[in-house]
Amino acid sequence: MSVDPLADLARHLTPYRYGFNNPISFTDPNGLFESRREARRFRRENNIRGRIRRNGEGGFDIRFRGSDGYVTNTGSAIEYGVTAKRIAKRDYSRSRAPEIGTWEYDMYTSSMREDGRYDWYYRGSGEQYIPPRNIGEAFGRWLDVGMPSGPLKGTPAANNVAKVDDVVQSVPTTQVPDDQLWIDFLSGEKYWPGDVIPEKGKYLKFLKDYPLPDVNPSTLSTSKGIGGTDDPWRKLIEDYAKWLNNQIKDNPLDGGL
Amino acid sequence: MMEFDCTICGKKHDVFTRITLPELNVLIGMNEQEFETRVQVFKDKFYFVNTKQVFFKADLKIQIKTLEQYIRFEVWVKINPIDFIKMAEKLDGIDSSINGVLAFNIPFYKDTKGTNLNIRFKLNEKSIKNPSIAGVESDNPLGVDFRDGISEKKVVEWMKILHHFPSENIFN
Repeated sequence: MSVDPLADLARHLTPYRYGFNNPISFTDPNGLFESRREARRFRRENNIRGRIRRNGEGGFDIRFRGSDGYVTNTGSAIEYGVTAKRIAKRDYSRSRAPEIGTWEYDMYTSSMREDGRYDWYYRGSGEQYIPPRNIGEAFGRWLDVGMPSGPLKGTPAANNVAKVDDVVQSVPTTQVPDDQLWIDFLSGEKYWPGDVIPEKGKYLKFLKDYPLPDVNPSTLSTSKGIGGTDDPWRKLIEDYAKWLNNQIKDNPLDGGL
Repeated sequence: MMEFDCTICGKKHDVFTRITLPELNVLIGMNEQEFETRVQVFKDKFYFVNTKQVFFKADLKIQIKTLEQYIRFEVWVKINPIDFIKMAEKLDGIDSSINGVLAFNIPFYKDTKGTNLNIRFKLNEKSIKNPSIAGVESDNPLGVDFRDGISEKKVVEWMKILHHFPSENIFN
């Protein structure tokens, strides 16, 4: 095991101490600002102070070093909650139905319903938020349950989307019944009819009439052959390995980790 | 466990379930010019440092024992490029994993830099999210917590620090 190649570059610094008393950044790695301009506008409209940086998803994030703007929870750690608005923008700008069960957002917003459109959110606790209720000043994890089409009418049940009551505690080996979709509250992992739930946990159950996609993603993966171009990580790893190979040819390594 | 009663101020605070870390150049205190010279970035995901080692971000989840909830740390890991190339040659499942080490200490765990890890890529995910830490191969406190989970009490202690003393050095 060799010495960290970066260590000699910053001996006087303890990693994480640089540039901040707060070592943790506020980021939104799932940020969906597609352009710097868009991010800038959002920043201005929401009175946010932060730097706009390109993220690894091909979009832009607003990043914070402190607790300015309307983030009042001091400089600690969590993604900043501009996400809800981005979800709305993303979903409603598409002609097709938004993907259900997007579960990756730590967010904060007090105005998620200002556009009058419809999504439902479940907090990690299972608490349900239905428009026009505001999320309020809350950090946390939320499940975005995008409606497949049109405005929401009636109750969640009438729209065939799971209610809070439908959060199920599963035990391993439970099999998802036909025509249902379960989503792991913690990981966002989806389980389709016939799938076996691998571990005990809390799952959000979508009722059977919910318009599930025609194709089971796991089937899709198999039928296209694992390794198809639909596997973004696989492609990235292969591309990067190729790139690394070329680099190493030119500069042979003289040590491992 | 989304909130807790804070004994410092008497208010309720949110529990931060995800803790993210700064970018690599910030962590190593390198200016932009030097960083560009010494680090080659591939699609904003992989950082080839000094043409020797590969750094990237991964998620490390620590379970809150009693709640089946997790505190998720975004960490920087470091791997051997040769291992990476070997892994790429045999991507024959829906998962693929590689051994590496923690590139820096992580919050609340002293001296964890260099901890051996197993990192898993989920190849068939629709989006490119961080790979996850599948194993912490150490008996240090991080390794123990990774395997056994942490108590709610410990989470509350962490959150009190984050809410009230964010400038404290929580890495050492």
